[in-house]
Amino acid sequence: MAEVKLHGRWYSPFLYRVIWALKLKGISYEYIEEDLSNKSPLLLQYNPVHKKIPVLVHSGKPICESMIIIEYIEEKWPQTPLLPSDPYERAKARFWVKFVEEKAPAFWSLYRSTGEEQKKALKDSSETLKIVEEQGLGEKKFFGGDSIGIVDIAFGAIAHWFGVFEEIVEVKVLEAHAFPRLHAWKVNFEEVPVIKENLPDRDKMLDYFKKRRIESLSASQ
Amino acid sequence: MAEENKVSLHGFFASPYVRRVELALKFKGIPYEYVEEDLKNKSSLLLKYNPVHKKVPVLVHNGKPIVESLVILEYIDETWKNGPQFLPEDPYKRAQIRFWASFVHQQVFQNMVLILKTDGEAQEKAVKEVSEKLSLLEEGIKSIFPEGIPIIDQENVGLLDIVIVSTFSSYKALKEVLGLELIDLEKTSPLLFSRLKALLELPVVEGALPPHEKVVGALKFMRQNALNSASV
Repeated sequence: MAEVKLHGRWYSPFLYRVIWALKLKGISYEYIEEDLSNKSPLLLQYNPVHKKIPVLVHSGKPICESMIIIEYIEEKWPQTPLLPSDPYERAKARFWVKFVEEKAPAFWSLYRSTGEEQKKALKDSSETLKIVEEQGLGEKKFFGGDSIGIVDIAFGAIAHWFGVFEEIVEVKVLEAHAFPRLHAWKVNFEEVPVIKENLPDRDKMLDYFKKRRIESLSASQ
Repeated sequence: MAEENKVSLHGFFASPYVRRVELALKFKGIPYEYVEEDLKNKSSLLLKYNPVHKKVPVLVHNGKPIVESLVILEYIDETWKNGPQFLPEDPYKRAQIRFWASFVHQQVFQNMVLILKTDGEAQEKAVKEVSEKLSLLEEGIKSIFPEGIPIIDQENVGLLDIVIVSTFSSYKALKEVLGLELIDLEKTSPLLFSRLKALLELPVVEGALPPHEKVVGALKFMRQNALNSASV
C-alpha cells in the first residue's frame, strides 16, 4: 500500500485539519514532527514555496496547503465524503472555506498583539464570527449538516484554538449569549469522537502560546 | 423550462476576477447575460447575491448565486462537462494546479495591486515581492509540466491558464500607467510569458478582454485614488 506521511507541528490547527480528514476516512499515516525554528532539509524540499507545515507526502509526492491537501484526500479516498456531491452545495462549502482562510489572520494576531493592533484584531475577529453566526450555519448542527464536513474542519481553529487565545489576552468574544449557534457548534464539534480524540493538549497550548506572545511582544520593542 | 440553465454574471469590466469567470464561460461556450455593476452604487441584486463580501464576480445559475472567482471556476468545470476540462483528472495534478492558481491569486496579484497603488519605498518592496514570486511561479510551471508545456488551444485550456491570462493580461496597460516597466516579464519569466502570449492570441481571449485604452483609464483612476487617499 502506498505510504502516507504527514509533516506537522503539534500546536498547528492547519495540521489538525489534515489529521481530522485522514482519521475520518480511516487512512493510516506516519506523522513527522517538524522543528520550525530549524526546518528539516526534507520540509524545504517538499515545500520550497512557503516552507510551512502541514505537508502531506503520498508515495513520495508532496502536497502543500491544508485545504488543498484535504481536497486531494477527498479525491483519493472517497469514503466518508467531506464535500457534498451537488456542485452548488460544493461551491457554497468552498466559499466558506475561502472565507475562513481570508479572515483567520485576525484570530492569530489576537494573541500576538497589544493596544491598537489588538483592538483591531478583536474587532475583526468579532465581525467574522458574527457573519458566520448569521449567515454560515443556519439551523444545522454542523456546516456539513448532520455530520461534519470540509467547512467544519476548516473552522476547527475557532472551536479549539480561539478559546486559548481568548484566555491569554483575557477577553471573551465567543460567548453563548452573543453567538448561540456558533457556540453550540463549537460544543458539538468537540464532541465528535474523531475530533475529541485528536486535539492538542489545551494546557500545553496555553503555555506554548503564552510564551510565544511574550517573545513576539519583546521582539517588536 | 425557460429558467433551465439561465446564467448571468455580475461584474466590473476592469476586474481580473470577473475576467476569469467570463473566460471560463466563453471557453465552455455557455451563453450568459452580463450585468455591469457600478461598484460605487451596487445593485440590490448584488447585495442580495453576495451579502458577505458585496463584491463581483457573482455567477447566478438558475437563480442560485456562486461567489469567489476560483470557486466559480470549479463550479463551472463541474457543472458543464462540454468544452475544455479546467482541472485534470489526476488528483495530484489537480492539487498542483490549485496550489499555483491560489499562489498567483493571492501572492502575485495582491503585490501587483500594491505596485499600482503605491510609490517610493512601498512600491519598491512590492516590485521585489512580485519578482520573487514570479521566479517561484516559473519553477512551479516547470514542475507541473515536466515534459514541457503542451501547445495551447481552445480545447485544452486549464484553470491555471485562465488565472494567468486574467492576472497578467493588463501588464502592458500597467506599464503605460506607471510610465515604465518595473518588471520585465519576458526576461524574468520566459515560460510564463510565452504561455501568456499564446493565450492572448486565442480568439476567445482576444474577444473577452476590454480595450487597452479602457484598461489604462481604469488603472490610472485606481492609482490616483490610492495615492490621494494615502497622502491624506
